[in-house]
Amino acid sequence: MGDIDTDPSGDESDQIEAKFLKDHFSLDDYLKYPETRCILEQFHEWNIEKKCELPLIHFYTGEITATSNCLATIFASDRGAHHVGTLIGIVFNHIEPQYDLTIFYDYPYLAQGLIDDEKAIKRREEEERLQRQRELYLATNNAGKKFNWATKTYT
Amino acid sequence: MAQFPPYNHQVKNLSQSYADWFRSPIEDSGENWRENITHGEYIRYFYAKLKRIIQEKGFNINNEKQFKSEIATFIYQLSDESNG
Repeated sequence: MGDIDTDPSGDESDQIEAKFLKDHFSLDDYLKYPETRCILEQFHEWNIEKKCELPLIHFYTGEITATSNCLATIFASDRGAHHVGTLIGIVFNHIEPQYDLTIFYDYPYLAQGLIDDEKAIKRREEEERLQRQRELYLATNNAGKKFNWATKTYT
Repeated sequence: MAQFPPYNHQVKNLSQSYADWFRSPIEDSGENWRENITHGEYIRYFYAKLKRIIQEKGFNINNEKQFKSEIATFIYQLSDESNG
């Protein structure tokens, strides 16, 4: 037999991470974190380019051919369809973003920065909570005193 | 979303105002490409076709009013004036 990888642990850990992402993060979280936002935006741009660019080019060049053939006043300054890029830019800037989180569920390592950032935030919140408790304790009369178990008092 | 960079868009200035140009008929060599339609009617046709292409691919347009305005300006800047 060839070298078929029968160890499913990689897939399983990916599934666990994907579930963690689904349970803990919303679209807003991905958009707030720069790395994941960049991935979502690039994926969206790639998607609209893949689906819309060619039909737009075909439409525009078809219009240019029709107007050029009869020397119409419309598009008289673009007989060579050189401004198709301008048109595509206008259209792409006005397409409503559709962000698809599937890419992070399929490849959780792409959201590793977001996960690490979330853990760091949790750790910082926990440290701040402990610090607040310490400060509250230090503000009491018993701060710095030892508890005497025999007399049940602070000394 | 990142804005796409502007492309080179060097076109000549038209002496006719946009409003006059919008109402004026498209002139051609008489090949009956689109008989008796105005530049404004052509803009509406062009915009409707663009919108259909986008929607057929499963996308929606945001800020439709602004989009219409940019498409109209784009066509106006690349077109000639009518003489009559």
